[in-house]
Amino acid sequence: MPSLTGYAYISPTLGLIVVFVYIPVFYSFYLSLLRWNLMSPRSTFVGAANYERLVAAPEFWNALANSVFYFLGTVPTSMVFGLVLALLVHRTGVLRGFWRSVYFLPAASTFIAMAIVWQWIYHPSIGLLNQGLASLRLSPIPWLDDPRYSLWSLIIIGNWQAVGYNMVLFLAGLGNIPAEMLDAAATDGAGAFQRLRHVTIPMLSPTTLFVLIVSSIRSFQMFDLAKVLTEGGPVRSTEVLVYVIWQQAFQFFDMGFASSLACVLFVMLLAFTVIQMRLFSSRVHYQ
Amino acid sequence: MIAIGRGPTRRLLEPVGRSLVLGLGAVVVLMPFIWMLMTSLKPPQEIFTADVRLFPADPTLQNYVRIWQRAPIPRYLANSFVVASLILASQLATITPAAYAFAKLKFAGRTICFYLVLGMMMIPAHITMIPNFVTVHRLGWLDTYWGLAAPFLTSGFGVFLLRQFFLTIPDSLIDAARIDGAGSWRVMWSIMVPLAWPALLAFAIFSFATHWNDYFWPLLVVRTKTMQTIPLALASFQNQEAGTLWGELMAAAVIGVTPLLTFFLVVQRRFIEGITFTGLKG
Repeated sequence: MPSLTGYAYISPTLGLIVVFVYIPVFYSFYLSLLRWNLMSPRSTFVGAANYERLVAAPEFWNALANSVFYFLGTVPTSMVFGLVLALLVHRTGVLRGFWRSVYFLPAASTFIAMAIVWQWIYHPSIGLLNQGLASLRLSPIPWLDDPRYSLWSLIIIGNWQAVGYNMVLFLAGLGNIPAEMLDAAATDGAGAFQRLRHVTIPMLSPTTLFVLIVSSIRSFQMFDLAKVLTEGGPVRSTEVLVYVIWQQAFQFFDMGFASSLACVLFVMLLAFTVIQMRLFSSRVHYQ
Repeated sequence: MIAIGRGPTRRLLEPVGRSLVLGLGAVVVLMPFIWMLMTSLKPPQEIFTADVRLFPADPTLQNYVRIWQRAPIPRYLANSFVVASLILASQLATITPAAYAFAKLKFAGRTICFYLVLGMMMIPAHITMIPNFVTVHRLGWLDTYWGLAAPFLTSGFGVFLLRQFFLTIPDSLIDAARIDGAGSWRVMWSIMVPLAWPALLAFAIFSFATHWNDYFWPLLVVRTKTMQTIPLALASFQNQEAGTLWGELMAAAVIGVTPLLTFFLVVQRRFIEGITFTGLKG
Protein backbone atom coordinates (compact mmCIF):
# COMPACT_ATOMS: atom_id res chain seq x y z
CA MET A 1 0.00 0.00 0.00
CA PRO A 2 2.49 2.62 -1.11
CA SER A 3 -0.16 5.33 -1.50
CA LEU A 4 -1.20 5.22 2.17
CA THR A 5 2.40 5.39 3.38
CA GLY A 6 2.73 8.94 2.08
CA TYR A 7 -0.27 10.13 4.05
CA ALA A 8 0.92 8.35 7.18
CA TYR A 9 4.31 10.07 6.89
CA ILE A 10 2.98 13.57 6.48
CA SER A 11 0.02 13.35 8.84
CA PRO A 12 1.82 14.22 12.12
CA THR A 13 3.35 17.35 10.61
CA LEU A 14 0.23 18.36 8.74
CA GLY A 15 -2.00 17.72 11.75
CA LEU A 16 0.15 19.85 14.04
CA ILE A 17 0.34 22.66 11.48
CA VAL A 18 -3.43 22.67 11.05
CA VAL A 19 -4.01 22.69 14.81
CA PHE A 20 -1.38 25.25 15.78
CA VAL A 21 -1.18 27.47 12.69
CA TYR A 22 -4.13 27.35 10.30
CA ILE A 23 -7.02 26.94 12.74
CA PRO A 24 -5.55 29.73 14.94
CA VAL A 25 -5.45 32.13 11.97
CA PHE A 26 -9.18 31.67 11.42
CA TYR A 27 -9.88 31.58 15.13
CA SER A 28 -8.04 34.90 15.52
CA PHE A 29 -10.32 36.46 12.96
CA TYR A 30 -13.35 35.00 14.74
CA LEU A 31 -12.13 36.30 18.11
CA SER A 32 -11.71 39.75 16.60
CA LEU A 33 -15.50 39.85 16.13
CA LEU A 34 -16.19 39.19 19.81
CA ARG A 35 -16.07 41.11 23.00
CA TRP A 36 -14.45 38.66 25.36
CA ASN A 37 -12.58 39.10 28.59
CA LEU A 38 -10.16 36.22 29.05
CA MET A 39 -11.21 35.95 32.69
CA SER A 40 -14.88 35.39 31.98
CA PRO A 41 -16.50 32.40 30.27
CA ARG A 42 -18.99 34.55 28.36
CA SER A 43 -18.36 36.34 25.10
CA THR A 44 -20.57 38.58 22.98
CA PHE A 45 -20.60 38.82 19.21
CA VAL A 46 -20.03 42.45 18.31
CA GLY A 47 -19.36 42.32 14.57
CA ALA A 48 -16.92 44.95 13.36
CA ALA A 49 -17.03 46.94 16.59
CA ASN A 50 -13.44 46.10 17.50
CA TYR A 51 -12.24 47.32 14.11
CA GLU A 52 -14.23 50.55 14.46
CA ARG A 53 -12.70 51.05 17.87
CA LEU A 54 -9.24 50.33 16.43
CA VAL A 55 -9.52 52.96 13.71
CA ALA A 56 -10.59 55.51 16.32
CA ALA A 57 -7.96 54.50 18.89
CA PRO A 58 -4.98 56.84 19.19
CA GLU A 59 -3.01 53.92 20.73
CA PHE A 60 -3.26 52.07 17.44
CA TRP A 61 -2.05 54.96 15.29
CA ASN A 62 0.71 55.74 17.77
CA ALA A 63 1.85 52.11 17.74
CA LEU A 64 1.69 51.97 13.95
CA ALA A 65 3.76 55.14 13.69
CA ASN A 66 6.32 53.75 16.17
CA SER A 67 6.55 50.46 14.28
CA VAL A 68 7.05 52.24 10.96
CA PHE A 69 9.67 54.49 12.58
CA TYR A 70 11.47 51.45 13.99
CA PHE A 71 11.32 49.78 10.58
CA LEU A 72 12.76 52.88 8.86
CA GLY A 73 15.45 53.17 11.52
CA THR A 74 16.61 49.57 11.41
CA VAL A 75 16.01 47.97 8.01
CA PRO A 76 17.78 50.31 5.52
CA THR A 77 20.81 50.92 7.76
CA SER A 78 21.28 47.31 8.83
CA MET A 79 21.02 46.23 5.19
CA VAL A 80 23.54 48.79 3.90
CA PHE A 81 26.02 48.11 6.70
CA GLY A 82 25.41 44.37 6.36
CA LEU A 83 26.22 44.55 2.65
CA VAL A 84 29.31 46.71 3.15
CA LEU A 85 30.60 44.35 5.84
CA ALA A 86 29.88 41.34 3.64
CA LEU A 87 31.85 42.90 0.75
CA LEU A 88 34.76 43.63 3.09
CA VAL A 89 34.71 40.25 4.82
CA HIS A 90 34.21 38.29 1.58
CA ARG A 91 37.68 39.24 0.36
CA THR A 92 39.63 38.69 3.56
CA GLY A 93 40.69 35.16 2.63
CA VAL A 94 41.99 33.20 5.60
CA LEU A 95 40.36 35.48 8.15
CA ARG A 96 36.91 35.32 6.60
CA GLY A 97 35.57 32.80 9.11
CA PHE A 98 36.96 34.84 11.99
CA TRP A 99 35.33 38.13 10.95
CA ARG A 100 32.09 36.38 10.11
CA SER A 101 31.90 34.92 13.62
CA VAL A 102 32.79 38.20 15.29
CA TYR A 103 30.04 40.13 13.53
CA PHE A 104 27.54 37.33 13.93
CA LEU A 105 28.02 37.17 17.71
CA PRO A 106 25.14 39.57 18.56
CA ALA A 107 22.71 37.50 16.49
CA ALA A 108 23.91 34.27 18.12
CA SER A 109 23.57 35.36 21.72
CA THR A 110 20.52 35.25 23.97
CA PHE A 111 18.84 38.49 23.05
CA ILE A 112 17.22 39.21 26.41
CA ALA A 113 20.62 38.99 28.10
CA MET A 114 22.10 41.46 25.65
CA ALA A 115 19.09 43.76 25.95
CA ILE A 116 19.80 43.99 29.69
CA VAL A 117 23.46 44.72 28.94
CA TRP A 118 22.33 47.58 26.70
CA GLN A 119 20.14 48.89 29.48
CA TRP A 120 23.24 49.04 31.63
CA ILE A 121 25.19 50.77 28.83
CA TYR A 122 22.33 53.31 28.59
CA HIS A 123 22.23 53.91 32.36
CA PRO A 124 21.56 57.65 32.86
CA SER A 125 24.37 58.41 35.31
CA ILE A 126 26.90 55.55 35.43
CA GLY A 127 26.28 53.90 32.07
CA LEU A 128 29.16 53.47 29.63
CA LEU A 129 27.74 55.90 27.05
CA ASN A 130 26.96 58.75 29.40
CA GLN A 131 30.26 58.33 31.21
CA GLY A 132 31.96 58.46 27.82
CA LEU A 133 30.06 61.66 26.99
CA ALA A 134 30.99 63.11 30.37
CA SER A 135 34.66 62.40 29.82
CA LEU A 136 34.38 64.36 26.55
CA ARG A 137 32.76 67.15 28.60
CA LEU A 138 29.45 66.64 26.79
CA SER A 139 26.11 66.61 28.57
CA PRO A 140 24.53 63.20 29.21
CA ILE A 141 21.68 61.86 27.06
CA PRO A 142 18.61 60.34 28.79
CA TRP A 143 18.69 57.37 26.40
CA LEU A 144 15.72 55.37 27.62
CA ASP A 145 14.08 57.91 29.91
CA ASP A 146 13.09 60.60 27.45
CA PRO A 147 10.43 60.08 24.76
CA ARG A 148 12.59 62.03 22.30
CA TYR A 149 15.40 59.46 22.52
CA SER A 150 13.83 56.19 23.67
CA LEU A 151 12.84 54.78 20.27
CA TRP A 152 16.19 55.85 18.80
CA SER A 153 17.92 53.96 21.61
CA LEU A 154 15.99 50.79 20.73
CA ILE A 155 16.81 51.35 17.03
CA ILE A 156 20.52 51.40 17.88
CA ILE A 157 20.18 48.01 19.60
CA GLY A 158 18.11 46.69 16.70
CA ASN A 159 20.83 47.68 14.24
CA TRP A 160 23.55 46.24 16.44
CA GLN A 161 21.81 42.90 16.39
CA ALA A 162 20.65 42.82 12.75
CA VAL A 163 23.82 43.95 10.95
CA GLY A 164 25.74 40.72 11.51
CA TYR A 165 22.75 38.60 10.62
CA ASN A 166 22.27 40.47 7.34
CA MET A 167 25.99 40.30 6.65
CA VAL A 168 25.92 36.52 6.92
CA LEU A 169 23.01 36.33 4.48
CA PHE A 170 24.81 38.63 2.02
CA LEU A 171 28.00 36.58 2.38
CA ALA A 172 26.06 33.47 1.38
CA GLY A 173 24.79 35.39 -1.65
CA LEU A 174 28.27 36.62 -2.59
CA GLY A 175 29.54 33.06 -2.43
CA ASN A 176 27.08 32.13 -5.18
CA ILE A 177 28.39 34.68 -7.69
CA PRO A 178 30.60 32.82 -10.16
CA ALA A 179 34.18 34.12 -10.00
CA GLU A 180 34.44 33.87 -13.81
CA MET A 181 31.89 36.66 -14.18
CA LEU A 182 33.98 39.03 -12.10
CA ASP A 183 37.15 37.94 -13.88
CA ALA A 184 35.51 38.48 -17.26
CA ALA A 185 34.45 41.98 -16.24
CA ALA A 186 37.97 42.68 -15.00
CA THR A 187 39.51 41.49 -18.28
CA ASP A 188 37.15 43.82 -20.10
CA GLY A 189 38.70 46.63 -18.11
CA ALA A 190 36.04 47.20 -15.45
CA GLY A 191 37.43 48.80 -12.31
CA ALA A 192 36.56 47.67 -8.79
CA PHE A 193 33.67 50.11 -8.48
CA GLN A 194 32.27 49.24 -11.90
CA ARG A 195 32.39 45.54 -11.10
CA LEU A 196 30.52 46.20 -7.88
CA ARG A 197 27.94 48.36 -9.63
CA HIS A 198 27.37 46.23 -12.72
CA VAL A 199 28.13 42.67 -11.64
CA THR A 200 28.07 42.12 -7.89
CA ILE A 201 25.02 44.21 -6.94
CA PRO A 202 22.77 42.92 -9.76
CA MET A 203 23.87 39.35 -9.09
CA LEU A 204 23.08 39.82 -5.39
CA SER A 205 19.55 41.04 -6.04
CA PRO A 206 17.74 37.79 -5.10
CA THR A 207 19.60 37.85 -1.76
CA THR A 208 18.83 41.52 -1.28
CA LEU A 209 15.11 40.96 -1.82
CA PHE A 210 15.18 38.05 0.62
CA VAL A 211 17.04 40.09 3.27
CA LEU A 212 14.63 43.00 2.77
CA ILE A 213 11.58 40.81 3.32
CA VAL A 214 13.01 38.92 6.28
CA SER A 215 14.24 42.05 8.05
CA SER A 216 11.02 43.97 7.40
CA ILE A 217 8.95 41.21 8.98
CA ARG A 218 11.35 40.97 11.91
CA SER A 219 11.31 44.71 12.51
CA PHE A 220 7.50 44.85 12.56
CA GLN A 221 7.48 42.01 15.07
CA MET A 222 9.81 43.73 17.52
CA PHE A 223 8.59 43.14 21.06
CA ASP A 224 11.36 42.05 23.43
CA LEU A 225 13.14 45.40 23.60
CA ALA A 226 9.96 47.38 24.15
CA LYS A 227 8.81 44.98 26.84
CA VAL A 228 12.04 44.49 28.77
CA LEU A 229 13.74 47.89 28.48
CA THR A 230 10.97 50.46 28.38
CA GLU A 231 7.56 48.79 28.97
CA GLY A 232 6.41 50.79 25.95
CA GLY A 233 7.30 54.08 27.63
CA PRO A 234 8.10 56.73 28.47
CA VAL A 235 4.71 58.17 27.48
CA ARG A 236 4.02 55.45 24.91
CA SER A 237 7.07 56.47 22.89
CA THR A 238 8.16 52.84 22.38
CA GLU A 239 4.77 51.18 22.15
CA VAL A 240 5.06 49.18 18.93
CA LEU A 241 2.26 47.11 17.40
CA VAL A 242 3.13 43.73 18.90
CA TYR A 243 3.58 45.36 22.30
CA VAL A 244 0.06 46.81 22.13
CA ILE A 245 -1.36 43.44 21.06
CA TRP A 246 0.34 41.78 24.02
CA GLN A 247 -0.81 44.53 26.37
CA GLN A 248 -4.44 44.38 25.27
CA ALA A 249 -4.53 40.58 25.42
CA PHE A 250 -2.48 39.77 28.49
CA GLN A 251 -2.65 42.87 30.65
CA PHE A 252 -6.18 44.06 29.94
CA PHE A 253 -7.48 40.60 28.89
CA ASP A 254 -9.38 42.24 26.03
CA MET A 255 -9.01 39.27 23.67
CA GLY A 256 -11.39 40.59 21.00
CA PHE A 257 -9.68 43.94 20.58
CA ALA A 258 -6.21 42.35 20.76
CA SER A 259 -7.22 39.88 18.04
CA SER A 260 -8.45 42.67 15.79
CA LEU A 261 -5.06 44.37 16.16
CA ALA A 262 -3.30 41.08 15.40
CA CYS A 263 -5.41 40.56 12.28
CA VAL A 264 -4.71 44.09 11.04
CA LEU A 265 -0.98 43.64 11.57
CA PHE A 266 -1.08 40.26 9.81
CA VAL A 267 -2.86 41.67 6.75
CA MET A 268 -0.55 44.69 6.65
CA LEU A 269 2.56 42.50 6.79
CA LEU A 270 1.23 40.21 4.09
CA ALA A 271 0.36 43.17 1.84
CA PHE A 272 3.72 44.77 2.55
CA THR A 273 5.57 41.58 1.64
CA VAL A 274 3.61 41.20 -1.60
CA ILE A 275 4.25 44.84 -2.54
CA GLN A 276 7.98 44.45 -1.87
CA MET A 277 8.07 41.33 -4.02
CA ARG A 278 6.13 43.03 -6.84
CA LEU A 279 8.17 46.21 -6.74
CA PHE A 280 11.53 44.57 -6.65
CA SER A 281 11.08 41.29 -8.47
CA SER A 282 11.23 43.11 -11.82
CA ARG A 283 14.69 44.30 -10.79
CA VAL A 284 15.82 40.98 -9.42
CA HIS A 285 18.15 39.09 -11.71
CA TYR A 286 18.11 35.36 -11.27
CA GLN A 287 20.97 33.36 -12.67
CA MET B 1 41.52 37.47 -5.78
CA ILE B 2 42.48 41.13 -5.56
CA ALA B 3 43.85 40.60 -8.99
CA ILE B 4 44.22 43.97 -10.67
CA GLY B 5 46.07 46.04 -8.10
CA ARG B 6 47.57 49.21 -9.49
CA GLY B 7 51.06 48.68 -8.27
CA PRO B 8 52.43 47.04 -5.14
CA THR B 9 51.44 49.88 -2.77
CA ARG B 10 47.80 49.35 -3.45
CA ARG B 11 48.14 45.60 -3.05
CA LEU B 12 49.58 46.18 0.37
CA LEU B 13 47.30 49.01 1.44
CA GLU B 14 44.03 47.38 0.52
CA PRO B 15 44.12 44.49 3.01
CA VAL B 16 45.51 46.76 5.72
CA GLY B 17 42.73 49.31 5.21
CA ARG B 18 40.14 46.59 5.15
CA SER B 19 41.38 45.04 8.38
CA LEU B 20 41.44 48.46 9.99
CA VAL B 21 37.79 49.13 9.09
CA LEU B 22 36.71 45.64 10.12
CA GLY B 23 38.67 45.94 13.36
CA LEU B 24 37.02 49.24 14.26
CA GLY B 25 33.60 47.81 13.49
CA ALA B 26 34.40 44.77 15.61
CA VAL B 27 35.20 46.98 18.60
CA VAL B 28 31.72 48.53 18.36
CA VAL B 29 30.02 45.17 17.88
CA LEU B 30 31.91 43.44 20.69
CA MET B 31 31.79 46.35 23.14
CA PRO B 32 28.57 45.23 24.90
CA PHE B 33 30.03 41.74 25.44
CA ILE B 34 33.26 43.13 26.87
CA TRP B 35 31.42 45.63 29.06
CA MET B 36 29.10 42.88 30.33
CA LEU B 37 32.02 40.63 31.25
CA MET B 38 34.06 43.41 32.86
CA THR B 39 31.13 44.72 34.91
CA SER B 40 30.37 41.21 36.14
CA LEU B 41 33.92 40.98 37.51
CA LYS B 42 33.83 44.29 39.37
CA PRO B 43 33.00 44.76 43.06
CA PRO B 44 30.11 47.23 43.71
CA GLN B 45 32.33 50.17 44.65
CA GLU B 46 34.00 49.98 41.22
CA ILE B 47 30.65 49.89 39.42
CA PHE B 48 29.16 52.91 41.17
CA THR B 49 31.89 55.31 40.32
CA ALA B 50 32.07 58.43 38.23
CA ASP B 51 35.01 57.51 35.99
CA VAL B 52 35.02 54.87 33.28
CA ARG B 53 37.46 52.03 33.72
CA LEU B 54 37.21 49.09 31.41
CA PHE B 55 39.15 46.57 33.46
CA PRO B 56 38.30 45.83 37.08
CA ALA B 57 41.07 47.04 39.39
CA ASP B 58 40.20 44.33 41.86
CA PRO B 59 38.53 41.49 39.88
CA THR B 60 36.17 39.32 41.88
CA LEU B 61 33.72 36.48 41.34
CA GLN B 62 31.43 37.65 44.12
CA ASN B 63 28.68 38.73 41.70
CA TYR B 64 28.53 35.19 40.32
CA VAL B 65 28.48 33.65 43.77
CA ARG B 66 25.68 35.96 44.93
CA ILE B 67 23.41 35.47 41.94
CA TRP B 68 23.96 31.73 42.07
CA GLN B 69 22.97 31.69 45.74
CA ARG B 70 19.98 33.93 45.37
CA ALA B 71 18.34 32.36 42.32
CA PRO B 72 17.94 28.75 41.16
CA ILE B 73 20.10 29.28 38.08
CA PRO B 74 20.59 25.53 37.37
CA ARG B 75 16.82 25.12 37.41
CA TYR B 76 16.39 27.90 34.80
CA LEU B 77 19.12 26.42 32.62
CA ALA B 78 17.49 23.00 32.95
CA ASN B 79 14.06 24.42 32.01
CA SER B 80 15.46 26.03 28.87
CA PHE B 81 17.30 22.84 28.02
CA VAL B 82 14.27 20.59 28.53
CA VAL B 83 11.95 22.80 26.48
CA ALA B 84 14.40 23.28 23.60
CA SER B 85 15.19 19.53 23.58
CA LEU B 86 11.54 18.51 23.71
CA ILE B 87 10.78 20.77 20.76
CA LEU B 88 13.80 19.54 18.80
CA ALA B 89 13.02 15.86 19.40
CA SER B 90 9.44 16.30 18.28
CA GLN B 91 10.44 18.36 15.25
CA LEU B 92 13.01 15.79 14.08
CA ALA B 93 10.52 12.96 14.56
CA THR B 94 7.81 14.71 12.54
CA ILE B 95 9.75 16.50 9.80
CA THR B 96 11.87 13.52 8.74
CA PRO B 97 9.00 11.29 7.50
CA ALA B 98 7.16 14.30 6.07
CA ALA B 99 10.21 15.50 4.14
CA TYR B 100 10.85 11.97 2.88
CA ALA B 101 7.24 11.61 1.71
CA PHE B 102 7.30 14.99 -0.06
CA ALA B 103 10.60 14.19 -1.76
CA LYS B 104 10.31 10.54 -2.68
CA LEU B 105 6.79 9.12 -2.32
CA LYS B 106 3.95 9.68 -4.75
CA PHE B 107 0.41 10.24 -3.53
CA ALA B 108 -2.62 12.27 -4.53
CA GLY B 109 -2.64 15.81 -3.09
CA ARG B 110 1.09 15.86 -2.44
CA THR B 111 1.65 19.32 -3.94
CA ILE B 112 -1.29 20.90 -2.09
CA CYS B 113 -0.13 19.44 1.21
CA PHE B 114 3.40 20.68 0.59
CA TYR B 115 2.14 24.20 -0.04
CA LEU B 116 0.19 24.02 3.22
CA VAL B 117 3.42 23.16 5.02
CA LEU B 118 5.35 25.93 3.24
CA GLY B 119 2.58 28.45 3.91
CA MET B 120 3.21 28.02 7.62
CA MET B 121 6.48 29.92 7.19
CA MET B 122 4.55 32.97 5.97
CA ILE B 123 2.37 33.18 9.09
CA PRO B 124 3.92 35.23 11.88
CA ALA B 125 3.65 34.12 15.50
CA HIS B 126 1.68 37.12 16.74
CA ILE B 127 -1.43 36.10 14.78
CA THR B 128 -1.49 32.58 16.21
CA MET B 129 -0.43 33.37 19.77
CA ILE B 130 -3.81 34.34 21.24
CA PRO B 131 -5.66 31.24 19.95
CA ASN B 132 -2.71 29.04 20.91
CA PHE B 133 -2.70 30.56 24.36
CA VAL B 134 -6.43 29.81 24.68
CA THR B 135 -5.82 26.22 23.55
CA VAL B 136 -2.98 25.65 25.99
CA HIS B 137 -5.01 27.30 28.74
CA ARG B 138 -8.03 25.03 28.08
CA LEU B 139 -5.83 21.95 28.01
CA GLY B 140 -4.57 22.92 31.46
CA TRP B 141 -1.04 23.15 30.09
CA LEU B 142 -0.14 26.59 31.37
CA ASP B 143 3.06 26.48 33.35
CA THR B 144 4.10 23.07 31.99
CA TYR B 145 6.83 21.91 29.62
CA TRP B 146 4.12 20.68 27.25
CA GLY B 147 2.54 24.09 27.14
CA LEU B 148 5.91 25.70 26.43
CA ALA B 149 6.59 23.29 23.57
CA ALA B 150 3.09 22.81 22.10
CA PRO B 151 3.01 25.36 19.24
CA PHE B 152 6.47 24.35 18.02
CA LEU B 153 6.19 20.57 17.80
CA THR B 154 6.81 20.61 14.07
CA SER B 155 8.47 23.00 11.64
CA GLY B 156 7.51 23.96 8.10
CA PHE B 157 10.99 25.33 7.55
CA GLY B 158 12.49 22.01 8.70
CA VAL B 159 10.36 20.03 6.26
CA PHE B 160 11.34 22.36 3.43
CA LEU B 161 15.05 22.23 4.24
CA LEU B 162 15.19 18.47 4.61
CA ARG B 163 13.09 17.84 1.51
CA GLN B 164 15.59 19.86 -0.56
CA PHE B 165 18.33 17.55 0.67
CA PHE B 166 16.34 14.36 0.12
CA LEU B 167 15.63 15.46 -3.47
CA THR B 168 19.36 15.39 -4.24
CA ILE B 169 19.64 11.73 -3.22
CA PRO B 170 19.31 9.58 -6.38
CA ASP B 171 16.29 7.28 -6.65
CA SER B 172 18.55 4.44 -7.79
CA LEU B 173 19.89 4.20 -4.25
CA ILE B 174 16.36 3.74 -2.89
CA ASP B 175 15.42 1.25 -5.62
CA ALA B 176 18.48 -0.85 -4.84
CA ALA B 177 17.53 -1.04 -1.18
CA ARG B 178 13.95 -1.88 -2.13
CA ILE B 179 15.10 -4.78 -4.25
CA ASP B 180 17.02 -6.02 -1.23
CA GLY B 181 13.67 -6.08 0.59
CA ALA B 182 13.85 -2.90 2.70
CA GLY B 183 10.52 -1.18 3.39
CA SER B 184 10.19 2.58 3.05
CA TRP B 185 10.62 3.05 6.82
CA ARG B 186 13.96 1.22 6.68
CA VAL B 187 15.01 3.13 3.56
CA MET B 188 14.28 6.42 5.25
CA TRP B 189 16.21 5.77 8.47
CA SER B 190 19.12 3.73 7.15
CA ILE B 191 19.76 5.43 3.79
CA MET B 192 18.20 8.88 3.66
CA VAL B 193 18.85 10.13 7.19
CA PRO B 194 22.56 9.24 7.31
CA LEU B 195 23.08 11.02 3.98
CA ALA B 196 21.17 14.13 5.07
CA TRP B 197 22.91 14.63 8.38
CA PRO B 198 24.49 18.00 7.48
CA ALA B 199 21.00 19.41 6.85
CA LEU B 200 19.63 17.75 9.98
CA LEU B 201 22.47 19.11 12.09
CA ALA B 202 22.12 22.63 10.73
CA PHE B 203 18.39 22.53 11.37
CA ALA B 204 18.87 21.12 14.87
CA ILE B 205 21.23 23.95 15.79
CA PHE B 206 18.90 26.56 14.35
CA SER B 207 15.89 25.14 16.18
CA PHE B 208 17.64 24.71 19.51
CA ALA B 209 19.03 28.25 19.46
CA THR B 210 15.66 29.75 18.49
CA HIS B 211 13.82 28.12 21.35
CA TRP B 212 16.58 28.54 23.90
CA ASN B 213 16.36 32.30 23.21
CA ASP B 214 12.61 32.61 22.90
CA TYR B 215 11.06 35.12 25.26
CA PHE B 216 7.61 35.79 23.86
CA TRP B 217 5.82 32.45 24.20
CA PRO B 218 7.29 31.54 27.61
CA LEU B 219 6.20 34.99 28.84
CA LEU B 220 2.59 33.98 28.15
CA VAL B 221 2.72 30.38 29.37
CA VAL B 222 4.95 30.45 32.46
CA ARG B 223 3.22 31.37 35.72
CA THR B 224 5.60 30.33 38.48
CA LYS B 225 9.26 31.05 39.12
CA THR B 226 10.29 27.41 38.99
CA MET B 227 9.12 27.07 35.39
CA GLN B 228 11.01 30.11 34.11
CA THR B 229 13.40 29.66 31.21
CA ILE B 230 16.65 31.59 31.08
CA PRO B 231 15.37 34.61 29.08
CA LEU B 232 12.36 34.95 31.40
CA ALA B 233 14.50 34.65 34.51
CA LEU B 234 16.91 37.31 33.22
CA ALA B 235 14.05 39.67 32.47
CA SER B 236 12.60 39.22 35.94
CA PHE B 237 15.98 39.80 37.64
CA GLN B 238 16.18 43.02 35.70
CA ASN B 239 12.71 43.99 36.91
CA GLN B 240 13.57 43.40 40.53
CA GLU B 241 17.05 44.76 40.58
CA ALA B 242 17.39 47.49 38.01
CA GLY B 243 19.35 50.38 39.36
CA THR B 244 20.92 48.55 42.22
CA LEU B 245 22.78 45.36 41.48
CA TRP B 246 24.29 45.81 38.04
CA GLY B 247 27.23 43.56 38.85
CA GLU B 248 24.98 40.64 39.69
CA LEU B 249 22.73 41.36 36.74
CA MET B 250 25.73 41.27 34.39
CA ALA B 251 26.92 38.04 36.00
CA ALA B 252 23.47 36.58 35.32
CA ALA B 253 23.66 37.82 31.72
CA VAL B 254 27.07 36.16 31.30
CA ILE B 255 25.64 32.90 32.64
CA GLY B 256 22.68 33.31 30.29
CA VAL B 257 24.68 33.82 27.09
CA THR B 258 27.53 31.40 27.82
CA PRO B 259 25.87 28.06 26.90
CA LEU B 260 24.71 29.23 23.50
CA LEU B 261 27.82 31.27 22.70
CA THR B 262 30.11 28.37 23.58
CA PHE B 263 28.02 26.15 21.38
CA PHE B 264 28.19 28.76 18.61
CA LEU B 265 31.97 29.08 18.80
CA VAL B 266 32.39 25.29 18.68
CA VAL B 267 30.10 24.65 15.73
CA GLN B 268 30.05 28.12 14.14
CA ARG B 269 30.09 26.99 10.53
CA ARG B 270 27.06 24.74 10.99
CA PHE B 271 25.41 27.33 13.16
CA ILE B 272 25.63 29.96 10.44
CA GLU B 273 24.56 27.43 7.81
CA GLY B 274 21.54 26.58 9.94
CA ILE B 275 20.52 30.19 9.85
CA THR B 276 21.34 30.92 6.21
CA PHE B 277 20.01 27.69 4.74
CA THR B 278 16.71 29.35 3.94
CA GLY B 279 16.79 28.40 0.30
CA LEU B 280 19.11 31.21 -0.78
CA LYS B 281 20.58 28.96 -3.40
CA GLY B 282 17.25 29.18 -5.20
